[in-house]
Amino acid sequence: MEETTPTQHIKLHSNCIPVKGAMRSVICDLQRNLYIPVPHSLIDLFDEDSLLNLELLETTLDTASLQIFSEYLHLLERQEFVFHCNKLEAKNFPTINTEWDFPSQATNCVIDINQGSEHDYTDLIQNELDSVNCHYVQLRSFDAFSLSFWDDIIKIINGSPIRSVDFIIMDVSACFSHKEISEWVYSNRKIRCVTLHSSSENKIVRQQNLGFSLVLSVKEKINSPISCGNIHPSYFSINVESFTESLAHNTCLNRKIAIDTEGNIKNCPSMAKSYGNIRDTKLIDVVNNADFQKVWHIKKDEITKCKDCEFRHICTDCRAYIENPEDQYSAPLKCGYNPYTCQWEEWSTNPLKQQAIEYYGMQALVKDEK
Amino acid sequence: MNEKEIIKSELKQLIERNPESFPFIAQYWEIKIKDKTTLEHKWLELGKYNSKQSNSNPFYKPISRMIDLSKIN
Ligand code: SF4
Repeated sequence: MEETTPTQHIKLHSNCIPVKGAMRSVICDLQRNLYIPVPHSLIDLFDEDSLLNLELLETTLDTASLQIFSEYLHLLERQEFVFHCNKLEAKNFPTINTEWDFPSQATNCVIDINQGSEHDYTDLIQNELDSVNCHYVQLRSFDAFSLSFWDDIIKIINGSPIRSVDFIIMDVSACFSHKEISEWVYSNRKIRCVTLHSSSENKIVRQQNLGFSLVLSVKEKINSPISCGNIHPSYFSINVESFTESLAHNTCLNRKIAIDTEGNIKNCPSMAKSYGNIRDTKLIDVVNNADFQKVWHIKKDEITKCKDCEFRHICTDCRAYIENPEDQYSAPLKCGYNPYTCQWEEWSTNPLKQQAIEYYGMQALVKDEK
Repeated sequence: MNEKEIIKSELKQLIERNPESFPFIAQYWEIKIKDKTTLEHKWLELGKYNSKQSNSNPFYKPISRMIDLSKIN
């Protein structure tokens, strides 16, 4: 007969998934975008159904270990990562399905723009992106453009199937004021975020509202795709979609389309290989090309260093700038995390990364950043 | 009690008195009273079949990572 003691077991909520790294684990709460670092020994106490028998534990752990355990239990309870139940009740809470799919051939698109770009935005947004069902777009500009230039683009987006758009724009007071850009963002509700680069200060120009309409200004100068690929905890995405995608796919390039400043269609604007130009090549043909899809399958579990990192299923990858450019399974160059010491360090001064920094011609960028 | 609190408590009483007129879950509703706004609600067009949406949803992960967040306080 099944036992019915109500508080004999604790169970991790199905959306709270432990990930083991080299030195410690994290429990990722995929519903509330949270994670907490915990020791491996705590995770090892749970069985494959994320269930832990408290009564049994009391008979097996010594007093000192029980004291430590009770502190962790308190933390898990406070954060609502676990709930008390009996074995029978636990069966009502199955693990979540970790298969990933998305109803689009391309989920997201990056479009780079400079003064020399000749993109046909109407065709690109209304026909090409629609042909691959791509609804999420980021436009990144490296030169100054007037607000009317951006307004022409947002008008096309407003009447298109695009759901959300991000802009990375050069901040030039001669082109627009912060007040004007804030009002523009407010009246175009598909805009998730505008980041003004090359600005005089780092600040929040306009607070977000329900995840949209955020305007930020940053001092950093962005004049080419070489600035991309930063790895930082603030970029972690702790949700079911990202987590499950990362189990079987590359978290940056899977189903991504990129158009560089010259209109070349690539996996990422920073990568060298082009699959044709938007002037004469259809996005649908590129997306269906097996060679284009190859990088979609490089998972974090296969990447040097990342495969030992507890953050690997919440961290977005970078395949354009890697520590060893000769090895496509090498770790992202711009990651300063060391999963063997659990410390974040400055990546650009790491002596082991200097050769790759030189290879990518990043010396000036790194000098600017210091 | 300010005006918003009064409206809130009246609504709660209304739900209590007429449970059959509200969904079962209404007893647990968290009620927020919004300020009157003169702004017209704008629908988002989705470009096809006259489909419209009240609010959009952002993409579930960063599309690119251009800004070095470790340099920003
Ligand atoms: S080691 Fe890999 S998974 Fe971990 S933070 Fe760095 S890039 Fe992300």
